[in-house]
Amino acid sequence: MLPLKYTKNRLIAFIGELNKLLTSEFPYYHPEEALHLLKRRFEYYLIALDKIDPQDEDSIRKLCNVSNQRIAQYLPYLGFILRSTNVRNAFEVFGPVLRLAGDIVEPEVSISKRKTRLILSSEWYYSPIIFHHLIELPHFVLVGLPAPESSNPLLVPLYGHELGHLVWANKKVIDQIKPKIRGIIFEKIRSQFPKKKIEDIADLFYFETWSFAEKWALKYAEETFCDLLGLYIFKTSFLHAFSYLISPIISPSRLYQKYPSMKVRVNNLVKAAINFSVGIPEGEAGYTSLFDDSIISKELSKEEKFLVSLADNALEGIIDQLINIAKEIADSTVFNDKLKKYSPSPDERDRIYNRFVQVVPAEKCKTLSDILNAAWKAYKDPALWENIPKIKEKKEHVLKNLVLKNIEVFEYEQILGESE
Amino acid sequence: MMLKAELIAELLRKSDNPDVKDPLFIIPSPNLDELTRTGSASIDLRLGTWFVTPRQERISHLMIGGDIESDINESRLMKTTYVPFGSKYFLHPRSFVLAATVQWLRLPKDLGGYIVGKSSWGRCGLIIATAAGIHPGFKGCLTLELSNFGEVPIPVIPGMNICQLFLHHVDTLGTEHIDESAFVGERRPTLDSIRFDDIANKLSKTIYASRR
Repeated sequence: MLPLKYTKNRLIAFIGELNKLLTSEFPYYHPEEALHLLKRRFEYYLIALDKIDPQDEDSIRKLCNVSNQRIAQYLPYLGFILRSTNVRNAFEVFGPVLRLAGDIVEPEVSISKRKTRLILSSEWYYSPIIFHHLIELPHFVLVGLPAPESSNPLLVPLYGHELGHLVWANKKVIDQIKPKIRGIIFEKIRSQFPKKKIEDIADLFYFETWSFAEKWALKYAEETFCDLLGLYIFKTSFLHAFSYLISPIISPSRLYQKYPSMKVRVNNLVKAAINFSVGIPEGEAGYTSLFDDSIISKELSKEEKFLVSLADNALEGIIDQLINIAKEIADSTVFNDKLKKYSPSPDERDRIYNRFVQVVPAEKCKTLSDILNAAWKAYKDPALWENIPKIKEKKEHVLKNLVLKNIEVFEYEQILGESE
Repeated sequence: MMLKAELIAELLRKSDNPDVKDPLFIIPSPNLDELTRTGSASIDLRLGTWFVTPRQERISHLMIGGDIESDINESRLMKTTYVPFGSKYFLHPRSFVLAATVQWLRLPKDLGGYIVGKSSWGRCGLIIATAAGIHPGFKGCLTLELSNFGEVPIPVIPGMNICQLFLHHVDTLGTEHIDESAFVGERRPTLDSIRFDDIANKLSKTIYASRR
């Protein structure tokens, strides 16, 4: 049977590619471990195809389908894993981000016993990205920044947003908000069409019409939750990194199936920042004005507009709940003082910043967040290193080096502390 | 005058004192009590995580007096490797690699220094190829030139003590000017092109010299 032969050949070629990738220079073991795991899984598919009864066409077709789907699904991850070896990446942040991911996913498990695996890479897509809960790579979290920015430590706070997607799935946040979102959308439709009976709105025919609004509202809620978690973990530095990467707007059209409008997104961040007592760069109005939705060209159809308005309205109705959930999760994991976790503070940020003023990294830092907040304070300080002209000339280069060295010193101290 | 370890420790203890206007920093700092007790006149520095080697297959010879200092040229001609704590880098006999210290230094205006290899490594064949001078005012990680003159490969491990730093006072004669070299503010080993000064440039253009 020809499809069986072709599928086997595809699997052999895929495994061959995995073998080639395994000869790469891996700074860290986790990407290599992922390749070994994938190799075992795809070898298993090959063995299964070898052993299958050649007369059993139905089973052959099913197994070929699964194998082919897996090949198509996992090929992009191989590219991602390969890019994790490139020296453009800020390798110094690996340890602290792995700790952060572990703190979020399995806070009560000691570092040496944690199952969380991290692949930090760069992406050929201009957006930070995360892959998680992959069938063939359980416990693996793949996170990447856009390739031109993957060495930029100032954007590390955006990992907070990406890890938010992992938390969203692990903590099943959707279960906490879905009934409320459905209720808000339902009520809105009822108020728009008062003559319709409740049963009519809820029945299958009508549900298919407005289910897009619910689907989009859930996506908006997930992205907003991730923003809020990133903000709560990384404080002001998250707002800086967010505006650095996105302002005034990164996409020429509103990605209305996934994100709330930029105006809504930024307003929610500002609202949460006030709730979390996080300093807002440029002040509330100034920060909001960094973003500009007006240049978006795509016009929505009347139906799309209505559904988007339902989704926007639903998000507005749950934003306070999302703020509380993000705060509660972070307080019980990454900032849990019972687990001897520290919370970032302005005093710590200023202590580290004062070291940066002297062109020196700080020791005994308590959180990655403090380092990044100090980094952004230094980056935004026009007077920094004015008395050292040679360094001032290459301020960004030196600052990035200094911040990465500080992150390495932070990790160095963590390793020594754990071995005591 | 060379500074004794006790004095280095004392300077490091004062580094965060706001009354000290131009402090010495070595980060991560050594255990100052241990340093005081050594009785030596130097401080050990540790091997960092970044290594740079020439891509020999792409280089016909070393460019002298050229203008090849851009990042693109450097990454085309040199291979950068990151070796995290806990991993090894194998330095083979007669091979050469640029590395950096883990420690980030900040020298005040009245201190200079020298980097010297450790004799225990020298006896294994590992040589810090030059006695690198460090100018007053230096800030950053030090680039080290490591060569294996021995007969067997040597694993070098980030975090291990690799060299020693000697510090001495520099008489400033009241001047504030310091040499801010191009290597300031780096965390990775850096390469610089060897450029001619005016005199070397003029001498290189004599009409009667062989063009070989």
